[in-house]
Amino acid sequence: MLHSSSPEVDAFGSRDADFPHLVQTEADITETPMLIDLTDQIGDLQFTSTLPEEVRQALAGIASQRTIASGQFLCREGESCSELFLIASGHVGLDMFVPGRGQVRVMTLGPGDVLAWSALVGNQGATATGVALEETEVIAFPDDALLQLCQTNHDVGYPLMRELAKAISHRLVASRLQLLDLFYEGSH
Amino acid sequence: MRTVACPSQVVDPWLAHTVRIVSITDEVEGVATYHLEFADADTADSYSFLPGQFNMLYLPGVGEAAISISSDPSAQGTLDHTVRIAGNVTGELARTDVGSTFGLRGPFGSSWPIDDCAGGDVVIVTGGIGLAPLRPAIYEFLNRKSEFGHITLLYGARNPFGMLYTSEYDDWQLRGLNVNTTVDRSSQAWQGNVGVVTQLLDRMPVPDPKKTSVLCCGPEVMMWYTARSALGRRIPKDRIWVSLERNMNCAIGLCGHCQFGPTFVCKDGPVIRYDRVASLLKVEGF
Ligand SMILES: Cc1cc2nc3c(=O)[nH]c(=O)nc-3n(C[C@H](O)[C@H](O)[C@H](O)COP(=O)(O)OP(=O)(O)OC[C@H]3O[C@@H](n4cnc5c(N)ncnc54)[C@H](O)[C@@H]3O)c2cc1C
Repeated sequence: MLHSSSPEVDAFGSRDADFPHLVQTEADITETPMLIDLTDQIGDLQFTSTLPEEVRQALAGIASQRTIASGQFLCREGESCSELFLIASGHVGLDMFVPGRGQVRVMTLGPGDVLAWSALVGNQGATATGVALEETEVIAFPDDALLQLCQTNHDVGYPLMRELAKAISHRLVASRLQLLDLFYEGSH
Repeated sequence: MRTVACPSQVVDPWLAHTVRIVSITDEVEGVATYHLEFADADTADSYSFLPGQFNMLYLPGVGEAAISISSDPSAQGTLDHTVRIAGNVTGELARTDVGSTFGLRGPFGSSWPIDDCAGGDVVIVTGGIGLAPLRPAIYEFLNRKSEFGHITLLYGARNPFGMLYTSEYDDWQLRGLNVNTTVDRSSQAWQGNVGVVTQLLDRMPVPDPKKTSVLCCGPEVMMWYTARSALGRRIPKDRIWVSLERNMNCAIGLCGHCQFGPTFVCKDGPVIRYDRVASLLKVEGF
C-alpha cells in the first residue's frame, strides 16, 4: 500500500514525527495495466538482471509498474508494508525517526535498488520510512503472492532469496562503511 | 606552467625552490587551498606537472610534507595545494599568511592515466580531501573533453559541509562532467544522496565496462570497496587506478619509508593500477 504525504510535507519528506493524516492522493499514483509484460523491465534492473528468464517471467506475472509522485511514501517505519518494490528510475529516501531529532535520512536508494523487504523476511513492520524524492518508477510485487511463489516454486524462490540476501549484504556493508566515518580525518 | 606528454622529471630532486603564498582559499573546516607562485621566474617557466603528482612542501625548522598538486596543469595561474591540517608541517602551514615563503621540491610520482582513458567512459570516485589530487585530472579531462565518452564524478563526504570545491561544480557540469555527490550523514537542508560513495557506482549505468576507466582516491577502505564495486560492474582490473598516499619521507625511492615489497609508493605511485596494488590495500602497519 502506498501512503501519501500530508500537504505540509515537502518533497523530501521533512516532516513531523508522527503521521496523523494518511491521505491517499490517487492522482499521484499511476498504475500500469497488468496486461503489460514486465519481464524485460525486470531483466533491466540490477537486482533481477542475473535471474534466469523463467524466474523473471514468473515474477512479471505478479508484478505491476507504478509511478510514485515526489513526496509520496512507499513504506512507513513500524508499519506493515504489503509490497516489495524495485526502483526502476528516480530516488527514494530512507528515513528513521529519532526522538528529539525527527526524521533522519540514513540512505538514499536509486535505480536497481530493492525496497520494503521486511515482510518477505518475516518482519512485521518496515524498518524505515521510504519517501520518493522525485517522480519515481517502481515495479511492485505483492508480498503474499511473492511469498507463495517462492514457497511453491523453489526454482524461483531460491534464486530470488539469494539475490535478496546479496542486496541485504550490500546494504549492510554500505551501512558499516557509513559507521566507519571514513572522512572524519580526511583521506590521508 | 605547461603540460608535458611524459612524466615530469625533477632535475635535482633535493633542490627546494622558494614559493610564495599568493592567496589562501578556506575550503572546509581544517582544509585550505594555498595558491603558490615561484619566487624565481625561470623556475616558474620551466616547472610542469602531470595530474596526480605531488610536491614536498618544506617549512624550515618544521619539516616536509607530501602534498598533491590540485590546480589545472595547463593553466598559467598559480600552483595550488589543498591541505588538511594533520600534524607539524600542515599545522604550521595553516598559521602562515599570504606573502609568506617556504620551500617546494617536486613534482614527484606517477600521474593519472589520462591518455589511457581516451575513447571510453571515465568514472572518478573519491571522498573527502581525495578530490584534491583528482582535480587536475578533472581539468585535464574537461580540457580534452572530445577524446572521452561520459565523464562522471562520484564524490562522497562526511556531511554536506565537508565537500571541496563546491563553487566549481556548476562549471564542471556545464563543461560535461556529470557530478554526483553523496554524504554519510545528512542534515535537514541536504536534499541530495545519503550513503557511501560506492553505492553510486553500484547503481550508475556502465554501458561498456571494458572501455570504462575508474580513477579513485580516498581512504584505503573506500578504495578497496570501490574496486570491488567496479569489478562487480565488470570493469576490468587493469582499468582501475588508485592513489596510494602512504607515509613517505624522501619522495625518490631511497629511504624506504613507503616501501612495501618491491613497491615504493613515492616512486612507483602514488597513482598505481589496481591489479598491481590490490595486495597492498588494507595492509595493516604499512
Ligand atoms: C603522495 C601523497 C600526497 C598527499 N597529498 C596530500 C594533499 O594533497 N593534501 C593533504 O592535506 N595531505 C596530503 N598527503 C598527506 C600528508 O602528506 C600527510 O598528512 C603528512 O603527514 C602531513 O604532514 P604533517 O607534518 O603535517 O603531519 P605529521 O606530523 O607528519 O603527521 C600527522 C599524523 O598523521 C600520520 N600520517 C602521516 N602521514 C600519513 C599518511 N600518508 N597516511 C596516514 N597517516 C599519516 C602520522 O603518523 C601522524 O599521526 C599526501 C601524502 C602523500 C604520500
